[in-house]
Amino acid sequence: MATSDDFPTRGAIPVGYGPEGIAVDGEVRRGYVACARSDSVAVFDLESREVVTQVPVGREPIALVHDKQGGRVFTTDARSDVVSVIDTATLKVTKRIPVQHYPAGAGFYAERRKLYVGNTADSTVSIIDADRLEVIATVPAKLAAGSLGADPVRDRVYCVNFGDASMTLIDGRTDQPIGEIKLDYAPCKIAVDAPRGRAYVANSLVSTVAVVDLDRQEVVDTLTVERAPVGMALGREGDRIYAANRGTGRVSVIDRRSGREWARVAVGKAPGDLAVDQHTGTIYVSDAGTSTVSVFQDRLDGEPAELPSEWRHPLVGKPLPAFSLPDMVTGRPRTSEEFRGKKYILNFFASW
Amino acid sequence: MRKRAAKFGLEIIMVNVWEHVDPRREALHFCKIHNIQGTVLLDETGEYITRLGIRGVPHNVVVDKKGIVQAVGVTTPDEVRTTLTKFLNPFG
Repeated sequence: MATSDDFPTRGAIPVGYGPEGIAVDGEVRRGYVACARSDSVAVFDLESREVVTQVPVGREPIALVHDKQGGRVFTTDARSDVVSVIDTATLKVTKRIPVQHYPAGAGFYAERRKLYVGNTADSTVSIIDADRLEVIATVPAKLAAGSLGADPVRDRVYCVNFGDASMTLIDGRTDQPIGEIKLDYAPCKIAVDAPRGRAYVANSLVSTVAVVDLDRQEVVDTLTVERAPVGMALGREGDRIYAANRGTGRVSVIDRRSGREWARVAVGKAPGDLAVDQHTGTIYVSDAGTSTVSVFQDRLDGEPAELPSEWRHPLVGKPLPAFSLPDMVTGRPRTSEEFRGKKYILNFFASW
Repeated sequence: MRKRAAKFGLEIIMVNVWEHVDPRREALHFCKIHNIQGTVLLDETGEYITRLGIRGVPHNVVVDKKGIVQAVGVTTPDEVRTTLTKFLNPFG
């Protein structure tokens, strides 16, 4: 089994409430994370692991993209229906670009200088010129369009449609939808390995990662991970695939060659997104439940002697600890005592 | 799901956690959008879910008539089917 020596922690950085989209700039040693419940972007120093400043943006920023060449960070502010543009030199918002309803996903096509935004409530993609900072096209995708990834090798952009179990292919030059690939149930995040012609898609509701062959345009493998993967990132030049499991507070570490989950690394509660510092290989995870960014390194070099396996939660077989919690509607406390003698399921959920 | 579960005498109690800001308003909004009816409780500070040793969402905890936890996790369609078939089987 992988040990903590294989994945040394570098602590957790307290940021704003409900952190989601995250990016790091290894060169200037700085990170950016969209804090969905603070309506801000927390800017943190990768060395001191402290927040430098919080930049106020629109309501509920979810996705975050760093444009190194343009010196900007973009956030999709879902409840404001805008994309906020932050100048990374001044750390101020310089523009708010109106898009369509509930923009919750984004992807950046650096070679073509275009930002793609998934308008989840409208099932469309807004395409933004990253230099003119204007919407140049809005194209249809499928139900609950969200996360996007660019593929400069095939000159395409992929948009995963959470509500449709598919991804829409958009031509990088003409900005037109040119096809579709069927996926598993509830695809919610994509990471593209363009040189190898692969995309990895996290299917949160079925706890799998789909491996998509981008030339054949089909799913060629389905990897089982832990519970509710919602964040995807590639490390070690594509040899490592990381999936942030919102359901368990752990990151699945997947070996590309074998397609197997080699380890699970504990991070904060209900993690959302993750980013890899390509200079050092350090992994930064936004923990929506704990409002932190967890930092760890991956020193695992070969297949561990023991792979992660199903484990039994220590609560199974024991009495449920008593609860007394207010009812959402009436505000009155409800207690476990009231449900004595009944079969029931406690379903824990968050609105995000 | 709730109605089908009720046929088997199984109640579903939803517990909202980790909203950070305005939990009641957020939970109400969420339930309205997704047409969720039935009992919804607020674990505003996340104190209860932490006491159960659960570190993520979604998460289901299946409790039998004696108040004993039968399963923890159980969120994918396959897991739900397998666990509930076992749990609700009157001959099991």
